[in-house]
Amino acid sequence: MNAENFENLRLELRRGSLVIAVLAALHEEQYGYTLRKKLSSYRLDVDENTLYPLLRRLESQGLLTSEWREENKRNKRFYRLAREGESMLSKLMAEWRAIDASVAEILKESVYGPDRAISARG
Amino acid sequence: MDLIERYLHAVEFWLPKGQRQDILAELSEDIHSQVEDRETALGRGLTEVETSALLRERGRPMMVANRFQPQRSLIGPVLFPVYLFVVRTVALFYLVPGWAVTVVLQRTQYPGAPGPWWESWAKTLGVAGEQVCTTGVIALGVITAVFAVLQITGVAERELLNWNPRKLPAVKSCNRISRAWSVTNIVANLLFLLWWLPCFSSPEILHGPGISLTLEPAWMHFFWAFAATALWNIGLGIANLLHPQWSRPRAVCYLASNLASGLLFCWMTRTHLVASLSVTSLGPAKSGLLAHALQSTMAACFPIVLIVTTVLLVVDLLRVVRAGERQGSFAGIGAKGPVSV
Repeated sequence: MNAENFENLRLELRRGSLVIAVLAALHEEQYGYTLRKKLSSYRLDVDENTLYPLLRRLESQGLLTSEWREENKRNKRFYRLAREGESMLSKLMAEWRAIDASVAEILKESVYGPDRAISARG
Repeated sequence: MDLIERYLHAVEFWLPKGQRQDILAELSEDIHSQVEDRETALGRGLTEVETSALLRERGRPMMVANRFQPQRSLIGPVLFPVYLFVVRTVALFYLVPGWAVTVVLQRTQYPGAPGPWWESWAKTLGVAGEQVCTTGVIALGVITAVFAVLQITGVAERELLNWNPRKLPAVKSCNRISRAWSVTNIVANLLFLLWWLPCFSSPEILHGPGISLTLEPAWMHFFWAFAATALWNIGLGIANLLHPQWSRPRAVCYLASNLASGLLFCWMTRTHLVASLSVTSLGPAKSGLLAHALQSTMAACFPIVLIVTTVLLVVDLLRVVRAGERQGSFAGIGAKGPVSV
């Protein structure tokens, strides 16, 4: 039950970050399989059943563009960050950094106590 | 490769129609890229077992295709609690009473067939259960259909999301005994006594021009016992008006009152009370049959009285427990509520 709970919470935590990672990784044009490998090389393993539906959703929201092209005698769909995706990525990054800073502060307070956290803040 | 084609074919069946070929082409490319990578790493082609393992890792075709479907639900998370509430309410206030009414109707229409008593009761309960199941399935279907329509049109969700905190109902103290309930109790018991005392104070409860009904002398025990219970309930009602708070002793008094009434009713249905019945227009033979039918109907009511009594006693017991818990919690936080420091 504990392991299952952890897995559910971990997935919940990853869901939002994954969108940022995918958008960031698609500054450079990629097709699905290479994108998956790239994310994996940064220790962010993504299930193909999660990645492809996510790519489609982001494309339908206008954040990505895609085109079919032949490479190594096989047709592949290449994705790239759209202009709207770029502005969305910067907004999401700002939000993510703000959340990270808030959580870090809360954690600091819970570890060192409120007084030391306030003096550290000041 | 045959395995991959079969896999893709199976996925295709479940994919959304408009994007089927596009998704399939991309999925096929991904699988082939993965196979190629593995083959390069191994320096040889994949065996059928290895390809099968790779496809198995990707998941069952239906599940894979399902991820490409938009999120769908017949009744969404906003409406679902309301849906559940309606289903429970219908079950409690429509199906359960419906079942009880069906049992009563069955017993009065077909009081009993030859054979052991439990056999005829099992048949009655079976018939009633069958009817309630059919009604329940239809009710559930209708409720689900109505909520599905509300979900699709989005009307109810808009209404639920558009709310005003000032229109929320006032908090009712569950410890308080409502004045209306106490007054109803007193009036109902008074009316009962006004009807009961003059009409049933003698075993000869009916003696008109063409009809006379005489009960056994044991009737007088029931007469006084029911009258005493009604008086007791009037007393409790007055106490409730004066101190309208549930306490454990008050709850125990109600439990005792309902227990006494229930036992009296049960005992009455199991007692032979009809001494004689005579209807001039029917003649002695038919009057005897009528008296027998009257007695049998009373006897047939025993399980229903038992069920109703049990339900009332469970409610009373819960009230006793809750009253005790509330007293405990009040002792912990003080009579006027939590103390803030």
